[in-house]
Amino acid sequence: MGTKTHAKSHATGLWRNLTLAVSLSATLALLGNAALAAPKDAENFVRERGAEAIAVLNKPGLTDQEYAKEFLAFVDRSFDVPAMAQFALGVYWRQATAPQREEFVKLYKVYFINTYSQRFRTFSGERFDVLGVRPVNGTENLVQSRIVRPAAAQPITIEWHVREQGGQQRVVDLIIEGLRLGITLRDEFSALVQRGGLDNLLKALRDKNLTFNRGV
Amino acid sequence: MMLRLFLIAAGATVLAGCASVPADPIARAAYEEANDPLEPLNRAIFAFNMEVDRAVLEPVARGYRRVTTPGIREGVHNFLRNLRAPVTFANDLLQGEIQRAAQTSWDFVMNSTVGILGFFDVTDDADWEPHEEDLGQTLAVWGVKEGPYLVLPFHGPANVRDAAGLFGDRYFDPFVYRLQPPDDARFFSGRTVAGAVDARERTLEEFNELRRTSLDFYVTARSLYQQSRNNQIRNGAPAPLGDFNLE
Repeated sequence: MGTKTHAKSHATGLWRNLTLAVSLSATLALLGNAALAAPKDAENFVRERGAEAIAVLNKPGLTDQEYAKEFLAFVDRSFDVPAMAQFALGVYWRQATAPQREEFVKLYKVYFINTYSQRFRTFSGERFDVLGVRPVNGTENLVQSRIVRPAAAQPITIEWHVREQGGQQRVVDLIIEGLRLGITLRDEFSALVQRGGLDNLLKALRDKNLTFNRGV
Repeated sequence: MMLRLFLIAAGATVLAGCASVPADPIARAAYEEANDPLEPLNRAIFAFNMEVDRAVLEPVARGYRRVTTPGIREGVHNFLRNLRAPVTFANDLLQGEIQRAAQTSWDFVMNSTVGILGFFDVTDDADWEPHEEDLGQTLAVWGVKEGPYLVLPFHGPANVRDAAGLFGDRYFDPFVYRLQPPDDARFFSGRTVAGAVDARERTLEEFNELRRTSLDFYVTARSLYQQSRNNQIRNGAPAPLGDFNLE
């Protein structure tokens, strides 16, 4: 009698352990998959958005205004502009007051759109290839890509720094032929802050943005 | 004469003072990252170079574009690039890059012969992209530190390591040993001028766009130079992951 109960409880215990082990390994597998899925997601995101960008750049007969509109829409859909702005301000972000931060992000966006829309315009090409991905951490990835250009022109190498937030991938920086957009802007902004404080930078951005006449 | 006056002025600027080292820790970190203790002098030379560009180089580059066809310019560019191949080859070897040295020599032999002195790029179907090496990159590969950022008159951005490399690379150039004075001086100055006009013509739009949109063109040029040199030293390989920290 006693042994029977014991055997039964032993069996339930075994069963419980088994279910525990199965569910645990299932959870681990799910977690593992989630961790592995992130670089793949970043890669797919870049493949899709890169192809879109090339399609816009290759559109024949696009006027400056139409192009600027397309570029703005692309940035809104694909870039995390506030994160880029914060990175470009570097250590001075922490020193900035809330209103200064707010104004800076607004000025940054106008400046970024107007400056880089023209620089990117020369990047038309025949094909957009994704070459690989390097995980930076759990949410950030660096996706290597290449724009293959016609004839003898050398391909352009672009690395996309992509971050996942709330299930959505967003570009936080671009590294074009080894030149980091975020670093270039940070160096420039830092020099202006050093020379006259944050207000000097905000003023320079305001003034520069006034010289752009391509809308936005 | 012009150069001597310039050097005197430059010397005076050096004596007048380097950028003062800031005491505030944040400002100090930014100062060190810029790696530009000679900034006041460098800015003066940069302004001078921009003046030379405005008065001479850019107009000449525009004129060159007007009187030539894209095909001719491509040929001239190929020719100038091919002339640099021996220096690249020597530096490939000094960096222990045997495979790249082989690529360089294959390109050089083919383009100099079949490509008629290098005017035609007959190896662009090869499995490799053409590359350039110089002694500044070799010194970096050997672990020599870059030293402070410099702007050289008539030349542009550099650092102490690259300036030394620029000087040393002449001795890897076979033309130094083949030509007698004054032909060697004519050859080198001719090639330098042609190279400057070629480079300026090829970047007319980009350069002017960069200058137009920059908040401080001096700083933009410095940042891009430092980044592009590091990229060249890595032979275009991606930057180490440790560099990517969003904070």
